[in-house]
This record gives sequence, C-alpha cells and structure tokens, in this order.
Amino acid sequence: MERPDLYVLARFLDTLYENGGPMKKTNLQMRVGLNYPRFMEYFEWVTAHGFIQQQKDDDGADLYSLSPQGIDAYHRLVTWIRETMKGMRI
Amino acid sequence: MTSEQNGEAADKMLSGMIRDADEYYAKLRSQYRSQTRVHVAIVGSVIWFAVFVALGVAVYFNVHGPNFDLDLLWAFLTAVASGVITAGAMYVVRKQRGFELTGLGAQLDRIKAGKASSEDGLRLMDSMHAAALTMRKRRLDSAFEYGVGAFILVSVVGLNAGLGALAGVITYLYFRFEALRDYEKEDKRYEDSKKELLLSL
Repeated sequence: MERPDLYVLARFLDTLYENGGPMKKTNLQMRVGLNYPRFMEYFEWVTAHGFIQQQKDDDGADLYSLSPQGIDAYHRLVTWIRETMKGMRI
Repeated sequence: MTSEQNGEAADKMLSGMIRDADEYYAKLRSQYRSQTRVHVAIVGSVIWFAVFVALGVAVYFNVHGPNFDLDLLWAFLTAVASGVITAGAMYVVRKQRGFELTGLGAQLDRIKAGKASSEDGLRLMDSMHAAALTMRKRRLDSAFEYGVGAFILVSVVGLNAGLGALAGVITYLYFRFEALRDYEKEDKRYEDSKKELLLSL
C-alpha cells in the first residue's frame, strides 16, 4: 500500500490508543470495521512503520498494542489536526 | 513528558479542536449573513439603476416642459421602490433557503455529544475545509456583483456609462482573479499538508 487513507489510519491509532492495553487482532479488526484483506493491508502498513508492538498472553495468543512510536504518531496526528484547524481561514 | 502527560495533552488538543471548529462555524455563519446583505444590496442597486436609467431616458426624450423635474423625481422614486422591493424579496428567498453549511453544524453537534477521536477531528477538518472552499467559490459570484457595483458607481459619479463599464469590467476581472487564486492556493496547501503528514509518520 503506497498511501494509506488518513481516516482509516486515524481509526487504527484511535482504537489502539483508547484501548490502552494490548488487544487481539480479531478484536482490532472488528473495531476498525474493515474487511479482512483490507485490514491486513493496513495492519502490515502500521507494523512496518513500527506503530504496533506484539506480545503474547498466558495462553500464547498474539496481542497487539501501540508501540512508543505509535503513540508518538498518534500525538503527531492530533497536533497536526489542531494546527491545521487553527490555520484555516474562511 | 511522560506518556500520561502526553495523553492529557492529546485529550486537551481534541477538545480544543472542537472549540476551534465551533468558532469557525460561528464565523462562517456570520460571513454568510454579511455576504447575503452585500448580495441583496447590490441586486437592489442594479435594479434601482436599471429602472432609473430606463425611466429617466423615457422622461428625457418624451417630456420637455415644466413637468420634467417632477417626472424625473417620479422616475427616481419608482426606481428606488423597485430596488427596495427586489432587495426585500431576495432577502426573504435567501433567508428561507437557509444556511447551506448546516451539515458542518450537525457534525459538530454529533461529535460534541460523544468523546472526540482523531478520526472525528479529521472529518471535521475536511468539512471545515470544504465549507471554506464553498465560501471562496461564492466570491466568484461576488466578483460579478462588485463589477456591477463599480459600473453603477462610476457611471453615476462620472456621468459616463463607457467609463463605468470599463471600471466594472476591471473590477470584475480583478476580484475573479483574486478569488480563483485564493481558492486554488488554499486547496493545494491543504492537500500538500496531508501528504506531508503521511510522509512524516
């Protein structure tokens, strides 16, 4: 994927940020509301950019949460929205 | 800054974003109102001028007696009445049609009702940008109105319709050029800023 949709990316970051702790991939897919192939494209994109960190629960299932880099990306996104809004002229 | 402080800062920014959007929407509404007033005033003036010229010319070529001044006064008053009635009707029509950008207000209310997310922020920002472009596009219509305004003003003050027409065309072209340039610049700036953000992530 060359250029991700900013809305979907924001949804990914919002979901993981608001959840706080780690979550399962299926749960994440449900929350972002994408079909599986599309979800995997975005999932790979955010993973490749280091926004997501993986860990395992007691049963050995994979769990995902925002990495420090992902948190930083979320803050940058929010800051950019605020600044762009402030700079908007009628 | 700790992650908790960062989180608080992000939350504050999201609520600040809603405040900004609220102010922006209020400004849009106020600009829409003032644009309506200008539009109505210009249309009223055009009608006044057209009626006055038509009746004035008719009076000038048909009456050359002691009644000339009185007839000219009647022509003037009829023109004023026509202008006022047209302007009034236009104002009522625009008022009934309502503010075109109420979608942004509704979106803002929906976001205010829940917890704002960055996706909400993006949607709000896109709506604000689209609203700003709509207002800018409307300036293209205003350019024509300013041109007509300049034509009337120069024709009346300078008593020369040719000079008035020239002033009208120059005014129209200038405001149209400025409106188009502003529109394209703003749209490009916004899209470039999005691309830059994606590249920086």
